[in-house]
Amino acid sequence: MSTTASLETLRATVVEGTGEAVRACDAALAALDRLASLNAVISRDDERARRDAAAIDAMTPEARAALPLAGVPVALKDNLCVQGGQTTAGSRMLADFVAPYDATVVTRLRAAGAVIVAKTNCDEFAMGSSNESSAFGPVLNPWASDRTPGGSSGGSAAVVAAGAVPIALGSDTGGSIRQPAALCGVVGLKPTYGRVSRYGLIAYGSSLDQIGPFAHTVRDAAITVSAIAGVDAADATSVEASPIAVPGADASLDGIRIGVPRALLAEGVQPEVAGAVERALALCAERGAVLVDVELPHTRYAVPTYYLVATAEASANLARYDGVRYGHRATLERDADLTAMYETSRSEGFGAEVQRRILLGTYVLSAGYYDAYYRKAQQVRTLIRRDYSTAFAKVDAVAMPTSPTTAFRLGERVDDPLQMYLADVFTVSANLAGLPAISLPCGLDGDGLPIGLQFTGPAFEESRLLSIAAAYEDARGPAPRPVS
Amino acid sequence: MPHFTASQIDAVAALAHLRLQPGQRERLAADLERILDYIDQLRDVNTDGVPATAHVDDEARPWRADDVRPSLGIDDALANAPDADRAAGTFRVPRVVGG
Repeated sequence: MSTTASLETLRATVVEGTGEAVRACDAALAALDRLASLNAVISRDDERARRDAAAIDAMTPEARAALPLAGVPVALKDNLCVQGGQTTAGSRMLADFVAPYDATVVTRLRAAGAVIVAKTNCDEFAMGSSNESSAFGPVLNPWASDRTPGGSSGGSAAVVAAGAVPIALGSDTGGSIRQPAALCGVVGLKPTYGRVSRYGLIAYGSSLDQIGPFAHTVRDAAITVSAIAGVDAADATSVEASPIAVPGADASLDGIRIGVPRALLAEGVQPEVAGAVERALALCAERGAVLVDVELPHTRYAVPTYYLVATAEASANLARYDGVRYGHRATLERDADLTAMYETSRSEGFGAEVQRRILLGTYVLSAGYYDAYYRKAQQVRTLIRRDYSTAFAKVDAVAMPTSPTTAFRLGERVDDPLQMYLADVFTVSANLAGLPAISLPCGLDGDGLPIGLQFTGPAFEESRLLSIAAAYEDARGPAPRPVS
Repeated sequence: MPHFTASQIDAVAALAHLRLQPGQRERLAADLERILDYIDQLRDVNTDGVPATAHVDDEARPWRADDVRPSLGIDDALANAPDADRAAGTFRVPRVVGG
């Protein structure tokens, strides 16, 4: 069985065949072995994976047929807890942490028949746009080994792009699913805030974080998100909403109104990216979509707003790493006191970018600065939400590039945090507004690197968003894959 | 006007329980200065009378019953502790008050 088979094909083979889940699992593990040079994987439990696959094969074909992900190998970003397995969040702080429970998405994936084959590399505590802040070294882009895969879920994007697994999960706080999906030429979906339980996701920015899938096709992403979505008593922010429908063969753009924020696209976008997005929109129009100019006037403030809200939340969330209950504890002088233990453990355990964000977040929350920074950002967040509400009164979805550039070179932005933050200019507003957004391939640049098109929809309207994306995908035809 | 003096960055680091190394301190101060300069563009936005969004979920969530339910057991809770007295069921930390 090909490791690049679509989820639907692979699942059908498992359901109807004999021993196919184990075969698919072995094929995925072998593919991951071959791709070791990408540095996309932090840990694996091959024995557990084969055992889970064997359990699927031992079921009756009828029982397998009831599982939407029967025998499908899946990779998980290493900030998702799998009981009994190492869960590092890409940090030295958690290098030896063994999760005491499963994330809700892990429970749901397994209940749907999926087989977890790997935990993938990511930026430390999901803070980064290039995977270079990982304590386990950067992930290489499968399209070009001198380029980043994007971040922070770069490892999950890379293993899907390289064809080792049909689907993977990542988390998206400011674009960490969509941007690496764009840079690696795959589909990435950030669901509506509240759609997927965050229980067992190592927290970064709790009002922004969402878990979502990577896949080769919109329909595969839809099947995966349907399997993990739904209210969960363990996450009070999870919401019971209408189920997500997987787009049928009849997905259409006819009469669909697509908003285009032209003013936002006027500057700072790589010309080939702007060109590919324009061609994608023209194709949508050819298929019956109506392109409507929309204004999102406050979206230009989304990056500064995001870096205040996210770092403030991060400084609070990461206060729990104190060297007491779990995580790294420094070797101390005999007479060291508790404060010295906290400070030394945290300074040794956290990398440079995480420390930078904790300091920024602590500063903007501190007495005398709270109103000027954090409260101001929360108010601008309201204005960004209102912009989208106004736009969605006129249109079904908003289209823009996912990333202003294609995959940049490893090391190119690592010494310039502000330049790195600007990679998120088109993705952070969906997190600030809590909206679902999807990135899908729409072409290649002159260096043969993939370009991502992003559609954003109203809250909890994933079904329509996925239908629009699937209709574009059908019109576009199969996306190219990296040459292995 | 710079946002940070050297003593301010030390004060923020102390609040965050981080101990900065000498070279790292200057570097971080310069990075944060540039980031805050960039963030200062938010001052151009008129937010008079605009409510703050702390969370996008506007719906009031129902309260759950305050029932006792099983939670992580002591052995599991201590399993990842860098230092623990497992027999006593406690985490062990350096001294908290002067000796």
